[in-house]
Amino acid sequence: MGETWEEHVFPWLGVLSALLLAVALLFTLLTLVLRWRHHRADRVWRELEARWERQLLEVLAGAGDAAALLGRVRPGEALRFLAYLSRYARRVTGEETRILRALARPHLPRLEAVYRRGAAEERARAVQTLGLLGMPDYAPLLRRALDDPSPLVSIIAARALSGLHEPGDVSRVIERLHRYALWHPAFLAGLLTDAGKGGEAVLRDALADDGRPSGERAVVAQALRNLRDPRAADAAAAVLARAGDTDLTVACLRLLAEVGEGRHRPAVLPLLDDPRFQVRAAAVAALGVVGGERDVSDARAALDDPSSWVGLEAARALRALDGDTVLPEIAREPGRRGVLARQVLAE
Amino acid sequence: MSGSGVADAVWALLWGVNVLVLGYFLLLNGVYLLTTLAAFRALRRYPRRLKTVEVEELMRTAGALPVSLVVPAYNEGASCVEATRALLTLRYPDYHILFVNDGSTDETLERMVAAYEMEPAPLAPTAGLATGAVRGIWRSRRNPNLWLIDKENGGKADAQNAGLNYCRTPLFGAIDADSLLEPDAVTRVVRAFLEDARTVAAGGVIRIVNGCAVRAGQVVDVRLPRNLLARFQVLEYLRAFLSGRMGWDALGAPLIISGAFGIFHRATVVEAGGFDRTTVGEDMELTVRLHRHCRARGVPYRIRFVPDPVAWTECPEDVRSLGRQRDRWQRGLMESMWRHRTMLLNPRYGAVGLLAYPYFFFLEMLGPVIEAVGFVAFAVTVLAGGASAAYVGAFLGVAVLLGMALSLAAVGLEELTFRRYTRTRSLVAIFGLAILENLGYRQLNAYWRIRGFITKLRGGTGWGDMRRRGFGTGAGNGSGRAVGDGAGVDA
Repeated sequence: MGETWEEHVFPWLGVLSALLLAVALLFTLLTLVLRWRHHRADRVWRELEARWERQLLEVLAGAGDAAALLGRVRPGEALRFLAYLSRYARRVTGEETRILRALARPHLPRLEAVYRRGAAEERARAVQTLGLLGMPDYAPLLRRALDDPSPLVSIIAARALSGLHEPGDVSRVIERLHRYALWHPAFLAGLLTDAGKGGEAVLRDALADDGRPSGERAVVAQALRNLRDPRAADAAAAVLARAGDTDLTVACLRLLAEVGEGRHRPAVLPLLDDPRFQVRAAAVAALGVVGGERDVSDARAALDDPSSWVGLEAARALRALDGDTVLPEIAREPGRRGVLARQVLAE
Repeated sequence: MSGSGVADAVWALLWGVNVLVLGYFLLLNGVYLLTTLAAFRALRRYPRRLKTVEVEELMRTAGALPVSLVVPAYNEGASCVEATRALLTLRYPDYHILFVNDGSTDETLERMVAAYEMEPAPLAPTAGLATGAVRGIWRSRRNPNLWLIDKENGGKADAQNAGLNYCRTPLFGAIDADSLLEPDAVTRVVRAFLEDARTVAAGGVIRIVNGCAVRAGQVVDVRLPRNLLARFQVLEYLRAFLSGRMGWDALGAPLIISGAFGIFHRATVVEAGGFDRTTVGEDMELTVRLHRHCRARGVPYRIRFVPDPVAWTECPEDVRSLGRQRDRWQRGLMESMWRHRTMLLNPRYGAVGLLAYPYFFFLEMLGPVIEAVGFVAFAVTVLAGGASAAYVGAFLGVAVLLGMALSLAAVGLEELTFRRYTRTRSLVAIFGLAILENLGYRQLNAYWRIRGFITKLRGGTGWGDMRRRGFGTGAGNGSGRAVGDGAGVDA
């Protein structure tokens, strides 16, 4: 095999070696170029910060000249200046936010241009900055961005709009929840919570809407719970009578555990025997709020539920329903009931 | 058969083996190239996305998902207090630390109890995974989020399961007692769970702490180690995580979340049976099992590698400890691969079954054997005059250059993204390592992997110990593995 094989392969090995050497050298060179570029970018940022920082702090303190600061922003530095202002905008509120927005205003059209022509991440970044520095002027653009082809841009726009607390925006975001299906429900509920202050009625309508997907209604229920909207309890109780979905049922029970009252007790009781442990746990937790002394025996029985989660919620419900009598007594027992009772008493 | 017939048969066999080894070599490096390219594409976009959806903003909106960090410890008396102190400084709004004392025979328990003013506390288990008997639960008066579970010795996976049994949060973290998490590491991993609710596990980058300046449990100055073995491992880990893990993640087929730092969806892991107590590669085994578990139940899921959260870990600096570690990694890999071999080339598991699993099975698990056979066949061929010295040299030259190019690509990815080694002389030193590692280090790795292979076939199960220098915060068993991503592949 020797010579034939060698004769055949040897030239290719030579070519491959040369090629790989060139690639290795290229990678080395590119890495060094990257290092140099990063150093240069860091240096430029440091110089810009040195040029803007003192005057910006003076302007924010009410002692500086905004026009002079804007005069220090050279053509071609607009986007960097906006990025610089964004850093502060995240940390301040009130009058300082207003000052930053005024400083940003002359440069925002540049960002709008980026939004119109950039890649998805660039558009998202532009929308984020416009939300920070361009509100309320750019709210119409952000509302259009809700329908951007990229779900990332859409959700960044929704996040930015949530600060306006306009019921119309709550509606718009709810209508687009399906676009954000991958995001964690806690994030979506947080989004609606921020947006929903003043828009609780819209959220209640969405919760009551049987035509809407269960997952979305569960998110809405969680937002109402975050908002502690007492008027949502009736809607939640009504949903419980019809809902089959686990997430929605649990979300409604948790909402009742936050804002429920005695009249919601009948909606909760049947769910104490639900085959799903998550539902039983949420139901007994809600019972601790909407129940009374007559429910102590149910809560006590739930202590022995096969699921530790139900047992834990039952112990908490007992503490809520009965104060200091039953639970301290159970705490003296050996075994799981005793541990659960002692754990809850120590919380 | 005549004499010439036997000779022809031997030549044919040698020919076949050489072709097989060449095919293995091409395939292996082809996969490395593929993962590196996929990683490059993903890492270019990642910083832009980071800027778009800021972590703090995300947490402010969602509220932080509560996390329990499960920290198994065996005879960590010298370092447990400092290591825990470092964990207590994490910047995360809602987390618990479940420190599991796995039947230590030193003063681990006493030191923890004294240092953190711990007292017995009632805590009911939330799951019933089988573990060694729990002797007691303690809670710190000073830091109410710090718990200690004292149990009979049962090994790392057993201790992790004990922690899991007492975990009350939707997410839990598997953390090595000797790993230093960066303050925002948990936040950055949890981000993966917020951005995609299907995520059941996510892991971050493991980096080498040897040589770095550490104060109060935090790395304050990133430097290359002085020890040459440790330096090689810096390069290895860069390649393994930035090219390997990131590449597999981009291809949608990550097969390992490192046991040194990973965050998991508690309920899913409990449903899947927790950590396997019978393997020395419990981190990889769990990751593979999660794939199987979720696919079998038709549950939509994601397992993610996140490139910016960092856990710093101490690597072995002596040949003996390093050899034992690599031996163990090889055995762990074999156990995971064999146990779940039904996934091999199984289209039901998508890219995992058709791409990642065959790669790990044939190229990583069986690689040492193919390489050993290849070395022998190659040597016989040369000795028998079947190949000239020039040909051998050219072939080895290609292998070395290819390994070098891939290492340099990983260094380039580091420079493109996170740039932890800010000194230019460190960068130049890493370039040098990419050449030097071919002159002995890669061959040593191949030897250890073959040794691990043989140990496994003989039924070896031990973990082996590791001599550590310490960084002022901890010492442990070094499970922040970089296996299976070209980390230990001989050129």
